[in-house]
Amino acid sequence: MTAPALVPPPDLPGLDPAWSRLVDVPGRGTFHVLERPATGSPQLTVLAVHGNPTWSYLWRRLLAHAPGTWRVIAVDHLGMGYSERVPGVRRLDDRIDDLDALTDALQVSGPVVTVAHDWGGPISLGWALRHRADLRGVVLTNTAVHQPPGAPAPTLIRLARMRPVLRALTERTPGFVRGTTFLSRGMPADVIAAYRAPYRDPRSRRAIGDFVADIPLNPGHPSAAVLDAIADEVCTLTDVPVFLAWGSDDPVFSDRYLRDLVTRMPHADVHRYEKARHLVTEDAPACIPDIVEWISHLAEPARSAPASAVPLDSMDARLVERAGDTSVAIADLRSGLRVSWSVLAARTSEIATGLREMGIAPGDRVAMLVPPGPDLVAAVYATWRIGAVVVVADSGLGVRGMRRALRSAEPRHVIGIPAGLGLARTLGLPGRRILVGRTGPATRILAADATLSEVARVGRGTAAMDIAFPGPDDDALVVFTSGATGPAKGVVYTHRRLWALRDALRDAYGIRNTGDNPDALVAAFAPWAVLGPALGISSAIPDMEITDASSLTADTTAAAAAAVGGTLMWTSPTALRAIVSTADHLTGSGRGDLENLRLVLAAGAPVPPELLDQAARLMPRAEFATPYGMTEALPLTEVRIDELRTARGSGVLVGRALPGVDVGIAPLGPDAVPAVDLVTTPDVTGEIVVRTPWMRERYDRRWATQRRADSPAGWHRTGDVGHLDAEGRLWVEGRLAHVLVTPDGPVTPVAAELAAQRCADTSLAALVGIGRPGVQVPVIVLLAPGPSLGLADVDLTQRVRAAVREATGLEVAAVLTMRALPVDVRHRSKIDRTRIAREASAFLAGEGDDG
Amino acid sequence: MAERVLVTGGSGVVGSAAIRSLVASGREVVAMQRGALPSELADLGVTEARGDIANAAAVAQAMQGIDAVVHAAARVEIIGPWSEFEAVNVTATRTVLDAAEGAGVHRFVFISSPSVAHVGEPIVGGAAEPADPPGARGHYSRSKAMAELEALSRDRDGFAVTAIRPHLVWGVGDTQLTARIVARARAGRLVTIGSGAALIDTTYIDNAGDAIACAVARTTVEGVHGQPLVVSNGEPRTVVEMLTRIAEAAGAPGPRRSVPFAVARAGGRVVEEYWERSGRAGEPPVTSFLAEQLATAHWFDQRQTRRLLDWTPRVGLDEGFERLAASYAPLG
Repeated sequence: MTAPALVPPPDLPGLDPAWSRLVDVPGRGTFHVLERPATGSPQLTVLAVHGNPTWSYLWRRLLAHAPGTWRVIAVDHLGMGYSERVPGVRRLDDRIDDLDALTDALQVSGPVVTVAHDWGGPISLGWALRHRADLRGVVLTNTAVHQPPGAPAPTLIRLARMRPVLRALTERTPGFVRGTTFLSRGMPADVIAAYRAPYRDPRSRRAIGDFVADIPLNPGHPSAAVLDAIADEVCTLTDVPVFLAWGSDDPVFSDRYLRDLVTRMPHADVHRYEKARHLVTEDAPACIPDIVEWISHLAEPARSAPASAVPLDSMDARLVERAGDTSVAIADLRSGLRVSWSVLAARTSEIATGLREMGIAPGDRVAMLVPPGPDLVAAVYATWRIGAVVVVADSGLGVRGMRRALRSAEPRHVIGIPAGLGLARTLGLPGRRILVGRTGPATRILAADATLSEVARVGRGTAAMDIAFPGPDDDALVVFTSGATGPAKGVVYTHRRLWALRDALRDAYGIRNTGDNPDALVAAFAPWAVLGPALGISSAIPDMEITDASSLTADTTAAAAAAVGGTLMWTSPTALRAIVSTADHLTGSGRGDLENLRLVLAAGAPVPPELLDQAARLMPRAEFATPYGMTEALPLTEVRIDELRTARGSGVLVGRALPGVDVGIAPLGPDAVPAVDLVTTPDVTGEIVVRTPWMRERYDRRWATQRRADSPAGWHRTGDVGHLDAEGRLWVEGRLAHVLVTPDGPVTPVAAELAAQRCADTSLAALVGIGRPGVQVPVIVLLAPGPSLGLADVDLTQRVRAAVREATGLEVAAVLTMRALPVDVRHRSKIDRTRIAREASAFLAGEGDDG
Repeated sequence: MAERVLVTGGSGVVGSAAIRSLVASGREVVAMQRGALPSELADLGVTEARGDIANAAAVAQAMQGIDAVVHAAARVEIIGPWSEFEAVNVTATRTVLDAAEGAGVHRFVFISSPSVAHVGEPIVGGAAEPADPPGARGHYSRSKAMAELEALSRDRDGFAVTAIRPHLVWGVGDTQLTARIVARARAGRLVTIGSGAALIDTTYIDNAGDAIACAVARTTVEGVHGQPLVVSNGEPRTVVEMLTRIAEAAGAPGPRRSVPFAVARAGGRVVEEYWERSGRAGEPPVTSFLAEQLATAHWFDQRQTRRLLDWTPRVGLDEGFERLAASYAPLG
């Protein structure tokens, strides 16, 4: 049953045969290791440890990507990969001893960063805990050190452990090896073959079965004590940087194992790779480069400056001030509910006390699956009051997006309407479930612990508690990007940043909550109603479908304005169009209510001038403005509509930075990569980079995303491209990811798209590049009736080409039409040019052997 | 004294374009072809060396006092027996190379075609891949691939050889591609194969001539000698747009119908076999090679070519179509 160590065949994809070496460790056996030596004496050593049933091949990209100053060693455990098949069973402590002896033989000396996957995690941690003096960092990918109590072990492991199954699955057949390589989203066939290469016959697979048998699923297991000791001791690694790089869709080591590791090592940096499975290093191409980046950053000085002191504040301060006020604080025209300031303040306070009573603690994340309205407002302010964190996964993400968002944010508790609690239940969200609505049969089916009213009653019946206010740098809010191009990302705001946002809105738009003519908000984009109490102004939600802005009418908008004496309106171009198109039915008093509006903000997409003219006739006193910003930072700039009428330039004019906002441009290089340093020189196109006190604190559990966005430190890379003009106004030219790289250099899409739209008289056009970056040719795709994807006729092609050339100097190779252009769910305006480019490329490649 | 350049195939489409550009750049040109030189070239002061390139003695004779050679003579028909392609495109090229080396010529520009490396897959912003005789489609491409490999293998110190591959040459005076498209369009027989959406780039005839003249000047430059370079306008367009605009320039309708790719290719194979077996003269309506050419994207990365040859296309597509339209416009 033994076999000597070997070197891998020379033709495995991505593996350099020069890395392979055999190391004889007397008394143990001969190891096969991959080693990429450092040039000169190593700055640090990376020790990479695979799990079961993979081998060091898992780390080939780490060896390829690591800087030359590092020594990188990836080991094959004895009995695994191409290491010697030694007699006897090796348990966890044997494997830690093996690794120890191997690193002695290899004369590994500090500093060392361990990197591990799967059951390599406990082995590498066992080694790390014995070498703390040399330990510089710990990287773990989809692994576990502890079976969370009450939770079943991973199904695949349990299945493999059933006695009759174990040897059959793991040794006699290649089932387990195959199963594991299938735990990826789809590797190329030659890579799958490389993973399986050392495990072709039952003899070579014996250690795989031993490995599975060595997983301690019960306390009496011979390795249980060793694993428990490691699980306990990792909690002491408080001074060692830790990086958890995690595949989100691993059916073996699911998110709950990530949660367990974070609980043990709360200081860990986390990056959760959406849609990656067990073999995260294969499924997420960025994973290995990110690990290299993380290890590199250990050598840098800490970036974050100490936060400045701010006077203690609270999001509910204005609400509390008006606790004795019986006028309407929030009017929900959908339900007909009108809630006064005094009732809202009392109910918020009761719910806060009730939530504490139910065990919801400061820092706990609470998902709000409640549509905008008085219940949501009370629940949000109560949650903030007790220092818990509001998680808002809005229906604008689509159902799939909401599920992903919630899984990624891992709320501890849920407050939701029945549909929301149903979603929470199917996702297996833990913690308390609070139903917004009446008790009934649904309460039990949805496993609700209480209704929101019951929570308030608990609060009312509890002696007034002295609930501590959250600190300025405690987390307050997790919201999600629209996910127009890829999975939605969680964005975290602290209380300090929300206070700044509230004050920025107040100052930018001159919002008054006292005096003769206090402002009041018509929330035609309903989520903004939540900010009314923070600003101390009344707000009204029109009678509309929350997820469908086109369901708004002039009548319902006027009714909402009348309910609170509305002076401000937060809306979107779609909503504005709906109001204008139904204006004929408006009564005289309704006209008067709209005429009282003094400011209309339209966000989400540019507003066409003719729509503005019509809206201005309806709301003659109103100033129209479009704020520019994104989930991570809003508002950033503002443009008054009059400027838009005359604006001609390359891109969409979004205006001047608001006071308190810094805007810089990171110029694009010839390869469209933005520079590190920022400029404010006019007419230089680059990535738009911003800094403001009210921008996001960080991305949620996306260390690498955060690191790329936070450059320079304290700024936010928006992923948008644009330029400043001579007057200091900002123009947006598209998304960085959508910039073409032609032989003449980078080309941003928006200016050409606007020219094409005007010429072809269509509402949407996309400019995409065909071919590799560097030789791309520009192609215009128009929204037009007809086939799902087809060629525009030669005449239209020539007209669009001439229009684009006239506007931008760009020579379009072809003009296509699409019946529907892919856009985001939330705004219905952000075009997924990457997807269009993919489809257009295939179409324009023709029909050769591959076509 | 002006440089003396021998151009073989001087009465051909590319050869005559090369002659015009060489004369314009101040070179003295000797043109070798079987028939008489067209009078507009003769009027440029070109020396005629009439003869067959298969005739070693005639070629050696023409090589006397020559500084550089542009070897453009080739059998370009789309159908015919392999032996004829081999004799003209492979064997005679060897004869011309031998004579040039023997006469102490220092620079040799072999006129080739991107089809020598087109094995059927789409080419999207591609580079000039090495010629691939077994993979090349059709007798013409295969014979040119063999000849190009032979020519480039002769590259050495003192005898710099490059291969220029102009891509789909068209324009005023083009008796091949342009004339065929116009003839079919006038007969109402112009079709697209498949969707007609494949992006292709093409070369306006004068640009091909200029690129060759630049290659004569820069044959010895590192990256030029020993290498093939694709030459095109660098303006990819869909097949249907190119066909339409060429046809319309001649006052004829563009393609009205489309033949499915699979049908065209299969039909092409049958036709080729029939034509070859029956020894039929004239031109078949379609070949499998042609079907692929018209249905598959092939356009090229021109950055390196332009840098190495220090050349940019003088005539853009739009101007090319205008010139073509003017040439077809009824006189008076």
